[in-house]
Amino acid sequence: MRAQLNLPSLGVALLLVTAAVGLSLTVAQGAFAGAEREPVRSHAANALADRLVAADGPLAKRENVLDGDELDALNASQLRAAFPVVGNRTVAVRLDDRTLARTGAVSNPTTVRRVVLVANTTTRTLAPALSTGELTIPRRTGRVTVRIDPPTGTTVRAVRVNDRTVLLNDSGLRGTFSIRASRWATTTLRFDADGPLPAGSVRVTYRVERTTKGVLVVAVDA
Amino acid sequence: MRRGQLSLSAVEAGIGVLLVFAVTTGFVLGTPPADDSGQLDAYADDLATVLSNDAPRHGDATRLAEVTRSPDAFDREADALDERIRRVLPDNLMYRVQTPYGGVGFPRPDGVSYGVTRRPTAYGTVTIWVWYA
Repeated sequence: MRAQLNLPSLGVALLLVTAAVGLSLTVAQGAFAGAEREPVRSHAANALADRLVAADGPLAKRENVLDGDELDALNASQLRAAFPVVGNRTVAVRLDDRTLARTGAVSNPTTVRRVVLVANTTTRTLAPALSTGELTIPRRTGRVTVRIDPPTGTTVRAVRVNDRTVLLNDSGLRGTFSIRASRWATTTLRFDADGPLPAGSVRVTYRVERTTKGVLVVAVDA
Repeated sequence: MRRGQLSLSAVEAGIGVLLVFAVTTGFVLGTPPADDSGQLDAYADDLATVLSNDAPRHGDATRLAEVTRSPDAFDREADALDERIRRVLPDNLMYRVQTPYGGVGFPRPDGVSYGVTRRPTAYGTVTIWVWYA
């Protein structure tokens, strides 16, 4: 009696084990596909993105602040030259939806996104009449160029930035000078002159930086 | 002999199935999920960098130092900070910025992956969390 029952039960047992193995293989394959990453590629994408936003990077003005003009001029060969990590890879660099540079068509890339600011600088010039000898620059700026050309009879002895003397010449200042200012504080220039300074005798040129936000997308293909 | 005895091969099969499933459980639980916290950490880092390079609205060196200065300074600057973060971060991200005197942003949900960064300032540490909306 028992020997006869053994055959069908063996069949059922084999069926069960086979089904279990099949199911396990499917799960294992899924897990393997999910765990499969492209470490070299994602490392390249991260390295390129890090380098693009680094403070001393070729396109950056400061950390995470990119120069708008440099971005406009960026192209594939420049990208290869400035960022050795690109090498022979197919790389696309986008700012939001605008493609800045790409070394080919990327199809299934590893993508890294970074939050950046894009800075566009314009220069402005002020040349007012200085009745009090003081001039406050309306925007914060890092660098100011001063051209001093006083009328005859007037000598500009010193120029002070926020009460710090930056230019001094007892026999009179004349010519173009570049002055460092602080981006963090409002700059007030003070001219020590022994006579009137009509409009145009002091021309102050400063750079105004406008930043816009953007997302830098670095896509690296195989 | 006619006891309701389970056939030996059925018992063996049962044990075999258990063993196979034990291995499968290893695959299911042991594989780390395809996490994206590297990208989120990068977002949090970028946000902290942008904020710590922003000029302050009133005093101190940077915007982050300004909000950690005192409770009054935080109350005064919190809305502006929130506004700035909203403008800088991509729309698909939520954020929470915690200072010693309070936080701005959204309450943090459970069970999502975060990107975290901490920035020390002269008066305290600012912690930034970001996560996908």
